[in-house]
Amino acid sequence: MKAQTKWSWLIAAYLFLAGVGGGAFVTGAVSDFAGWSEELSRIGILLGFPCVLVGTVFLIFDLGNPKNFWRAYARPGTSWIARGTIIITIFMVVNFLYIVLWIWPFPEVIGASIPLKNFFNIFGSIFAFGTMIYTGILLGASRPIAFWSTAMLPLLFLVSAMSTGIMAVMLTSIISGSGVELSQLAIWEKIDAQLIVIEIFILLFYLQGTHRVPESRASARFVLKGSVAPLFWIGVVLLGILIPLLLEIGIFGHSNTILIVATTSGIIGGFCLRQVVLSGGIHAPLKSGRFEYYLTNV
Amino acid sequence: MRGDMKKYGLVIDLKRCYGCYSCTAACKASNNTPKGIDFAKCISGEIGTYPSAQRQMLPTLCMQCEDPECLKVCPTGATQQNEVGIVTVDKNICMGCGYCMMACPYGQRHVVSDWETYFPDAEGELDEYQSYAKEKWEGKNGYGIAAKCDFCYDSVMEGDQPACVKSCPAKARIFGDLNDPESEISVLLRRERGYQLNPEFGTNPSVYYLPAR
Repeated sequence: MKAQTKWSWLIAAYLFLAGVGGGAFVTGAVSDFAGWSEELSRIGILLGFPCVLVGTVFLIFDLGNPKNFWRAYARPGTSWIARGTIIITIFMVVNFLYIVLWIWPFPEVIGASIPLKNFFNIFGSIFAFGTMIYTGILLGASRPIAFWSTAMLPLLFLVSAMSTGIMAVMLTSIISGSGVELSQLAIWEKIDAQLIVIEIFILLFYLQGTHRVPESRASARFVLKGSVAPLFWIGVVLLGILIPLLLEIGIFGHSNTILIVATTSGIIGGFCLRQVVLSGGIHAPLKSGRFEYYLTNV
Repeated sequence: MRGDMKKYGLVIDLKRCYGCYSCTAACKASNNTPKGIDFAKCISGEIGTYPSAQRQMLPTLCMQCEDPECLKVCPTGATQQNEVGIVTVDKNICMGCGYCMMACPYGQRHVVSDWETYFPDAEGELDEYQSYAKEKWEGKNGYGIAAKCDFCYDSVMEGDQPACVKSCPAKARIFGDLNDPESEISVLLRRERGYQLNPEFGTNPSVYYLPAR
């Protein structure tokens, strides 16, 4: 059984960046809505749009015929690429307007109106949520690949996206010297640690669910013991889960350096997760009578 | 699909197929597919252990599903299904995302990035046969976009049969109209209990197989 190779790291980078961007926006919107920190809110809103935009550039690079990219809106009735393209386009437009009207160059437009700001917070968050979760649905719509075609994958990507989004906001707030105090980050550190615990459970259920058919069992073996295993155990488990979780719950205390290590590690882990899921995609065999034939060309 | 319309289908009789790869060669000659790409493949399968081991060849091609997964996931509308049930790709619309490759349960979608010579050690330009094939491929399909078997649509519309069917020396492939209950393939399907591959995907393929034994 051979895993698919058509969708490679460019797609993983896209899935990852779309998640980080959506997560960062929600982090910013919630920080503002709850009145936790205006500075964090600005960072989150500012990070969302460029992350998703860069992700989209990766996506376009991966196309065999990029000049037809605009046609991706054509079939929202059935295709999750078309639906997703519409979702992230709306997200990017809303996020872009939010930046233009609140941060630069016209800060007074939204800054003066709380209802308008809340509209952008809520409307933007809905589409940020869509951006985070649809990446899992997109892979799930590929029914012959049982490793992807599961209800756990959108949840896994959603939680990882939210978590990496929070970490991107925290990391940026520290290294940009924005003056955000560690105490202001504490609430997000807690939320992120809880998200990582949820992510552990989802990941366990996700892998447990692979027992149903031979091709997804092969995917799980490939990920846990095969050639993807180093990326899974080091990238996803160690960098993506253990390091950020242990550092965020504060076993080594709290400092800027510790938070930088935790968030950088967690963000790298988020990318590794997308890559592991993509490289583990194995197609169902052709079944003819009692014979099974494995596809070798995809 | 209306009853008076034709719906082309193919029956592959596994009793007759002995795995000579004529279909693969004829398809390549007819569709000028690049190196490594075969619209008509023949895969060898094995079950059991000695002394009760069995081997069986499985010829594959695009199943021209009635409810195709590749059509559902195609975001651009490049994938189309024509009036006789054949699934085609419009190369001018396809953006080459590869979603159809992921979604096709039968592995019958192909994306070619560039023309590769069959003789990498040969010096100089492509020979005239390869140049001809390259030109034909670029005219009909091209690079970076999805390509697939179309039951030799152009020949079929002229009343001919697909290349793989014409070339089969064992007469294991029978082509015809599934909507006509009196056609040779409809009769064969009823009489010999024809089946489709992987019916669990619910795509209702137009390619059927007759049991080997």
